[in-house]
Amino acid sequence: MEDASSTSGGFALGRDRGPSLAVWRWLAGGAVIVLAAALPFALSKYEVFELTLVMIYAIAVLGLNILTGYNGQISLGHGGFFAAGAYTAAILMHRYGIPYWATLPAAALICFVLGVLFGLPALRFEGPYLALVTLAMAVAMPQLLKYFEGWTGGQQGLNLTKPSAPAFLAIDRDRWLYFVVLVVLVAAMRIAANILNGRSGRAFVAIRDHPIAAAAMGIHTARYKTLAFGTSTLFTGVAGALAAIVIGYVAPESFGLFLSLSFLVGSAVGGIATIGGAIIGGAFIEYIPNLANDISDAAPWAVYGAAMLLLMYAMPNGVVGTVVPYVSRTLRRIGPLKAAFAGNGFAANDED
Amino acid sequence: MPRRGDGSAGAAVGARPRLLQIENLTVRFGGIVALQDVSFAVERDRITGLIGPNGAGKTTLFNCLSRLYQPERGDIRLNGRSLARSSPADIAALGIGRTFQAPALFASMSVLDNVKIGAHARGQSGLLTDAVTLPFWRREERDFEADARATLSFVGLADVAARPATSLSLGARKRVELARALAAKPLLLLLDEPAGGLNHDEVADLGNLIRSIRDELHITVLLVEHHMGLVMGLSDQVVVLNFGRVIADGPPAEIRENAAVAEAYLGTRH
Repeated sequence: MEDASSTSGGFALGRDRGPSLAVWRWLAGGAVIVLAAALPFALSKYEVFELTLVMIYAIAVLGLNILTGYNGQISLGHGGFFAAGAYTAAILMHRYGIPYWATLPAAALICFVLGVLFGLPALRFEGPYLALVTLAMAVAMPQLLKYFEGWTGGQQGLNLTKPSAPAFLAIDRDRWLYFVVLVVLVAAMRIAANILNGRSGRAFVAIRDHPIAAAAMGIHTARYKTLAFGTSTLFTGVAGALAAIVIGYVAPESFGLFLSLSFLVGSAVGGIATIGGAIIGGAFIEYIPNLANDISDAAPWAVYGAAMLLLMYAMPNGVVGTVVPYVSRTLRRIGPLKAAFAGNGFAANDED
Repeated sequence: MPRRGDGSAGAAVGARPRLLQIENLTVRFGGIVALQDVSFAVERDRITGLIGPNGAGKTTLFNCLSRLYQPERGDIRLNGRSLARSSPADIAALGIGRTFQAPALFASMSVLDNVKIGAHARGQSGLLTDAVTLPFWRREERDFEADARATLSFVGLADVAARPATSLSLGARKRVELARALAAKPLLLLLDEPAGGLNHDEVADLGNLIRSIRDELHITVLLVEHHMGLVMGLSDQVVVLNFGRVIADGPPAEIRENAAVAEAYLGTRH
């Protein structure tokens, strides 16, 4: 019943490849989750902490992908929304004693509203101009945080107590937080996929592809662009809240312009219009600067730059954005061959 | 229903219900008059052809209907209701679908998703229901998918549903656009030069398709087209524009004999 199997005109064997592909994807997804759940017990505490940060950055990059990759609005200011999420969590925990898990929905809500408010003026700008407007957010954020010292602790920042695992689980804090973040990451990816495969997500992409045609189809472009902004900053804000919880400390200097640029780099390296690419992006943000330092003490940023250039040269659509289409093209090519070997594919020779 | 603007040229005997009424529409760009007091009506369940030499104002009129241009004077009514306060994005929900001169498909999407977008205006699901995939959303999404596939079969493209929209030939892409407009289940379909760039056989197929849109789907069609054979063979009524004015309005046979139309196309005899 899937039309995928009959894309080439003469290939009408009625072989249903759709479900088997879906089964493979479920198996692959399940295997990744099982591996991710087993991993912390094979690694040192510090390595677990690093992986936790990878996942946090992945959630932040996922948010940026929704905006920049799927909706076509560029943002150089997502570090600012990451900071907003982090400080929401930190202030709620530090000043009001709210449990860490309850700060996540609060950060989500606040960053969604912030994103929508920011998305409204952003409607007037496109491309490089929008980049400049969002750049203002990234540049202003550290100083704003210092200015509202009474709330944010100013230059010193806020120290938080790292939450520990529930008593019945005999695992340490770092491993517990790894699992908390893993659950949020899986949920975030699932929710992002649902949105992007749904009516709203199609509207986001339609606006990016052809705004005039999108409006003619009844898509209120201003409303959906604003919604895309809010959705995007919601994800990035939740990531910020997780970062505050996991690191146990927030300070203005952690949320400078470079963080915003890192998200954009992570997004491009993984594949801006992908969901899975966010994980590659998160890994790049976490590991490459350190790796660059190991390779060259003197010029780590030259190594960083070279790694970035090399990746973008080899995979211009990002790792996932390049590899996945290649694999599915190959599978499509193999599909008819398999059918031919099964002895009923003599018609499978034209087109494609 | 108010029936202003009834006095347009060639009022038919036993008038059918009017779906669309253009009333004294005037559009100016700076000093240039693009449309001057244009009035005509599109009758329900009929194909109305809109022709005229280049620069006659056909596209301007389409853009007024899509609410991309704001007319200086005059009104457009769909089922008696004025479109003057609607935004471009409201038009689809009111029941007007359109195609574009150069196919304006969503380049990164599959053929099927392009057609699904056409159903956007009929949908309800919002960000939250999309995010958590409530049963309601699943039903709407299933309906959209079934409708999109049915519409693709209707235009003869069921086989390429999963392909990237940009991988198709021009003729096929124009059909995807048609399917996308039909997925909205419009009352009125605006076709902007659907035959442009098509070969002889494709034009014949297109003619049959437009006819079945009227006869099987009961959708009213307003057709802008340069291909005279297609317009004359297909239309129940033809409106001719020249220099922003309506110079003729009537059945094709009448238009063929009209001296003013011949003059507009062939030039003045001296």
